[in-house]
Amino acid sequence: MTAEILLETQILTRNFGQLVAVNAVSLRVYRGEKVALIGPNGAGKTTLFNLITNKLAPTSGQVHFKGRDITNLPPHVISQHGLARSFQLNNLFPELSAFENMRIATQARHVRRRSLWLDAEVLSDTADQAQGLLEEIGLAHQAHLNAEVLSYGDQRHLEIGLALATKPDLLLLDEPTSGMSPHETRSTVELIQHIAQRVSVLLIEHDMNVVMSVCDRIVVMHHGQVLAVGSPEEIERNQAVQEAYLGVAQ
Amino acid sequence: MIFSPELILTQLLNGLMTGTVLVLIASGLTLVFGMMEVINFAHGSLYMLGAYFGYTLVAWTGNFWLALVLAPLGVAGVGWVIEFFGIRPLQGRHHLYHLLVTYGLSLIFWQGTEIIWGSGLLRVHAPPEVSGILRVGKFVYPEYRLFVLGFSATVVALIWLYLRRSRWGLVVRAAVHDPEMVAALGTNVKRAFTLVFVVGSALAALAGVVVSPLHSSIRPDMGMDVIIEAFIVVIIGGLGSFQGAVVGGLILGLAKTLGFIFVPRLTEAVIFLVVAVVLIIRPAGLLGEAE
Amino acid sequence: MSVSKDDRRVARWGMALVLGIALAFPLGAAQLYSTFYLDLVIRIFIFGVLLVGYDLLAGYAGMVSFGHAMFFGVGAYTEGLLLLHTTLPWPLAFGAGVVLAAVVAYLVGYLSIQSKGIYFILLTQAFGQFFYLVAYHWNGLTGGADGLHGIPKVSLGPFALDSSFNYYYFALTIFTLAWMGCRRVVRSPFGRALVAIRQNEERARFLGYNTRRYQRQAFLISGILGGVAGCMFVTFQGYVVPDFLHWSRSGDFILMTWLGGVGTLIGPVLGAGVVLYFGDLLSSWTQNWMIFMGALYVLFVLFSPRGLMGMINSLRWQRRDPSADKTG
Repeated sequence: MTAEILLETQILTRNFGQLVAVNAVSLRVYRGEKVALIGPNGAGKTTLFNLITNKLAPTSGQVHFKGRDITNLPPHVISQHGLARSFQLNNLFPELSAFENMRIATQARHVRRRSLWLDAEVLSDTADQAQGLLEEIGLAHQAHLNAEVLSYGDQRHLEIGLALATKPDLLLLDEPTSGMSPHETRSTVELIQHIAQRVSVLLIEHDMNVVMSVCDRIVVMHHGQVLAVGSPEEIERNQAVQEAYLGVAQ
Repeated sequence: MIFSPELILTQLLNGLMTGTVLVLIASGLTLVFGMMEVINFAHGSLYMLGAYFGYTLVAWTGNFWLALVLAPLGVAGVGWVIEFFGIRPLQGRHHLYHLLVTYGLSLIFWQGTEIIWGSGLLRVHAPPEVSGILRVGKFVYPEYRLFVLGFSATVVALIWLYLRRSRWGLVVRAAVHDPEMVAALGTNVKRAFTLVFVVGSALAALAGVVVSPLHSSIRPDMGMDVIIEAFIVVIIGGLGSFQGAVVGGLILGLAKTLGFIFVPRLTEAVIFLVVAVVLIIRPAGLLGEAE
Repeated sequence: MSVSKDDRRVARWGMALVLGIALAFPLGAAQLYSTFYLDLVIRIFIFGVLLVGYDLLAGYAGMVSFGHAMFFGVGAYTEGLLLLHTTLPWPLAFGAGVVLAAVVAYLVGYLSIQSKGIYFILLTQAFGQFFYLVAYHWNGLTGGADGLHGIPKVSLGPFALDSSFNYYYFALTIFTLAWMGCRRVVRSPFGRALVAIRQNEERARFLGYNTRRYQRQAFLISGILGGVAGCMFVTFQGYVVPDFLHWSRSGDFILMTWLGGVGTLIGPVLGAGVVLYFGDLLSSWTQNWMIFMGALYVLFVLFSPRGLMGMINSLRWQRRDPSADKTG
């Protein structure tokens, strides 16, 4: 049984003048996988996400999603194809309630999203989905609060929830647990595991506990290049990875 | 129309004169925006007030040169008041609010000036020292215009030197580039900003005084006209860039005067189209920093 | 913020009352009060059509155009020229004005949307000034600085729009349609998306919204309504001058919008009422009545940025729950 290749980058490269932020990165994510993208700060992980979702244009190389070349497609079209992302810094709609945040996100897929005439309240399926997602991410009780007054951890969950609301095939999560307490981290891990039952996941993480408990494959980046790819056990034993992280041969 | 060399030279000098005056006016506007992202719509009013303060001082003292020095000082005070009561309270809010408040202020100044000074003809005469006519062969040109050109150019050059060489100049340039960094390094950015605002006001007023003998009368709405031109200069040259203001001012000054030789009625409209094109293609202007 | 059944009932009765007053208003003119007020209200309706569209763009979509007078002017000049120089029936001339305003709005919008913040403001101002100068200098077409005068009064079939009384009902109808239409748009998925785009355009885009398209459409709608207002004005007053397109007229719209309360749809119309009423009143005392407007403006922006509607709303909240702070 060959798994479907959801995401494939081919020699994806991005230069900023002399600096090569992402260097000929070729990787694949198969449907049903939970892949972690790890590496020291400045390894190019977020830049890679930006290239994949076309927040940044690549200097060279290609990105394919579900068999389609998405390298130069506008971000909103890429999202429509089923590739969603969350951001490292909370990127919410600050003056909308958590509920409305979620509803807008679910509305993005709705057939009637461009309607000038219908009352948005009438789109009950968006409201229902939004409510359901809020419960899933644990924000059902804060639904009426504006996003900007939510606690940091709740905002992080909303951040993930918004991307999830677009019913993607592949979810790119950028440091979902950054800045979280151990308790918040645990609940986020549970959330991701729950999500991963129906969505493939590629996540950038620094917390190795999270990586180990969630992911079945790890891609290690360093200086913009892919250093190693493998299962968690293989990566743990990998010399080059240890050197990259610790800077010293073990 | 016969394009004689004298005509061309006349218009060239006129263009340079208009241009350098525009630079004087625009420099304050652009640096203020560069430092704090504040769009000061009342900047034209400061130019206008300079002319009116100058008029009053000349009427009292009979001495144009004294007015040239004192009027900008007075307007600098007005500038300080605007900054203190109108700009500072809106710190951090969206720049639209600065635009709204300063627009409201420009209306107040415009109408207030008309109330106080009336709307009759108010003539400022060029000082006798430079009110003659220069003659070189077939070429004639009013001395006062040469004075305006030379004076404005000198002031602009002094500002340029100051920005390049002095310590405060360095602070200002750095703050335009990255205000947060400068603040983090311990400099009182707020004080630098107030200084730039006040000096910019004085420069606009200086332009207002110097320009008044060129018109048959100063008018309360001269500020409203000039602010648009100042915006054009600043947009073309680049918001936040003093050199850009110099380039933009000269371009606009020359375009206006030379354009009037060739396509008089179209010139103004075309200028705005050019502005639109610049904003679309290169919003940072010719010398501004790309966002 | 949930709206209770009581609130809805009150709102409905309130609307009925307002509608009743609005319909009966002209009847008292000349007898109970001067026709000046009739003309004033008509002008409020006319500018109101432009302003509800403007609020959609500036208040909800967050795009502050400083050149909106150009749509008013394009509509007015087009209709005026057609009525003066052709035998085109009036509704078609009106329609042509609106269509031309729409074309200009589409082009200007398309070019301007990519600019953000202050650049958008300045860019729309530049376009507006361009059209003003065209109107001012193209003597052959637009009558130059004098503009167009003596534009004939028109009739809607048997209903002659040559008196303020009749024109009032015409203007009331158009205004009501415009306002209800904008209200509908604001509550629609499109309108909700606009608000989200205003708060975080990037995120909206990455959620799958073609943000540029939404913004272009908002710009187009507001431009069309501006054109409608211009066409309405021309058949009411019978003239149009280049000054209608000057950036300071666009500034007036901004003033009315923020004074009345941006992002409330009805606020800007209130603002228009205040500015027009006090403008007419004060201008009979002093030529420099704008100074009061400027002062009012500055005070509002500094102390009550939500404008009149903000003040009205906070009074309402306090009445309901005196311990409640200003709403978020």
